[in-house]
Amino acid sequence: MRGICVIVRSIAPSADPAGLPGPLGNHAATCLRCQAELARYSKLRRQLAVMADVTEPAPDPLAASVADAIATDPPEAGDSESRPRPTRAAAAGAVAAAAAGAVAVAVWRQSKAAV
Amino acid sequence: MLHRAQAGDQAAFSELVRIHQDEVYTLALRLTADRELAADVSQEAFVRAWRALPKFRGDAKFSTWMHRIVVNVAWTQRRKQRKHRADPIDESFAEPVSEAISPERAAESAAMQGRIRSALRELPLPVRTVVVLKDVYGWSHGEISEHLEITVAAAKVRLHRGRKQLRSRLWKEVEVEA
Repeated sequence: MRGICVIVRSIAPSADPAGLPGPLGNHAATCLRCQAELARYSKLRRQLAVMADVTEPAPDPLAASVADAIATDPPEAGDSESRPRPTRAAAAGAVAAAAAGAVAVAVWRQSKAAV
Repeated sequence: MLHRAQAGDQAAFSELVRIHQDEVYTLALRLTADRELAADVSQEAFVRAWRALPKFRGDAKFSTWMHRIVVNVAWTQRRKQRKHRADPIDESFAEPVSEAISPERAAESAAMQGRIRSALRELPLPVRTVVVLKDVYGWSHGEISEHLEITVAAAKVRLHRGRKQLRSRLWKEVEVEA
């Protein structure tokens, strides 16, 4: 296997299905080994895309269990999936608040020392 | 039906559940590779959807919105489970039923599809999730990074690794068979 074939093989998983750019594309156009490798990934991606049209039957109790769960659980206007999740936002807020507090204390101490 | 459900009509929402349950369960199963866990994820996703329904503006299709909720729930479950056990693999994860593809296309790809499903289940969950969302459901790297709380670069790396591992498993099998 030539060195350029190794390069093609290494980038093939993320290669544009339309073709490789520049010298790699020129090489692949004449190298059966590289064409076969790229064709495998194209086939893989086509087959994965086909899976979007295939569904698995949900277990029978699912709809009933959902109905039971929501029977005593009215929709809440304030509870939304679009609401920012608290993890990173809360952490960033806490860090900002702590930093602001530290600055305020330092300023207060300096002003007190000056007096 | 959607508007009635948004207004709090439980019967209308139950109809939405009936319509979308297979699709939701299939995505949950592909993400978790565990039937029991997929059922739990599906139920939790529908309950969250019910609670959040008044805020659903219809910018995306309801099914797309449900997919996002399923991914969030599955990812939350994964975080809870990560401390307790390795990636779950359900050996009874059988062949899904084809509904929308033509008979010719289904027959042509049936053998390959079975091998792909097996190979997918063997991928580590973080890698499998990215491959499923990108290559099966067509999410963008941006959407994946947002919902999984990873960088776009990390999403691309996982996709690259996932495809490479799938290729290795799939065509190694073929070579052995030949």
